[in-house]
Amino acid sequence: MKIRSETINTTVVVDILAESLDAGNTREFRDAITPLINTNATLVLNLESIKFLDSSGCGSILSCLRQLNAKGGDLKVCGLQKTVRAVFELVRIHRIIDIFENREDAVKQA
Amino acid sequence: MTEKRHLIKDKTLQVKSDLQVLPEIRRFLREMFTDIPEDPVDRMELAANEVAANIIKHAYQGRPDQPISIRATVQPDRICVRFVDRGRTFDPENVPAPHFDGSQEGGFGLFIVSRVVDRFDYLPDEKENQTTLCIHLP
Repeated sequence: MKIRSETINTTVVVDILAESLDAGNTREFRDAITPLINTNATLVLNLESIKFLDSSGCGSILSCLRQLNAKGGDLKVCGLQKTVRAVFELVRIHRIIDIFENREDAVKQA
Repeated sequence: MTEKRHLIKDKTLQVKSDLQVLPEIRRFLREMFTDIPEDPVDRMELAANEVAANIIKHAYQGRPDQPISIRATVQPDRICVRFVDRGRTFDPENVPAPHFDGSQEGGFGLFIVSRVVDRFDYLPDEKENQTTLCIHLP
């Protein structure tokens, strides 16, 4: 999975450059993200390219949150398209992960 | 699934049980439901994707070369998708309700399906299993 990452202060911002995050590519997503999970750091996942998210995709984002929390870090998410936000709300991820409109807002609050 | 005279569109896609086919299934459904309002199509795309992933991961236990038949139909008052597979059966009543506290990373699929479609029918059989999803049109 193509991603682009940059570090701003102690925050790692990751743009996911894929149209979907589903059961077919969640392993690629995990492989790409895991090396970026650092101790005590905040990671911002920019999902603005993602048009389709399924339950496996949600699971991989929750896995990311757990790995970060275990290392004293935190996860923030931004750039949700309408369909992606609907899935977040169905499985109530929006209650446990901070969601921002865009990456600038997410970085400001990190 | 339906009586022939009520069908506006009726098309079947045959795929193998590989998770890489999920985008192809979604494209097939988008093309079938191209004249239908966005909201029911978005919901059907999500539910159908979950059912297909469950068939591949659980019914076929990850074997990538097994057959799945996906029939999509448009009727005046609803859209429906029926899956046929020859994998292991399961009892939807025995699937535990998910926890939403971040403690689990899986087990949301069937919950999502139940929330976004108007009808979910699962007919397990020794020969083949049928899963039917329907959404009423506004």
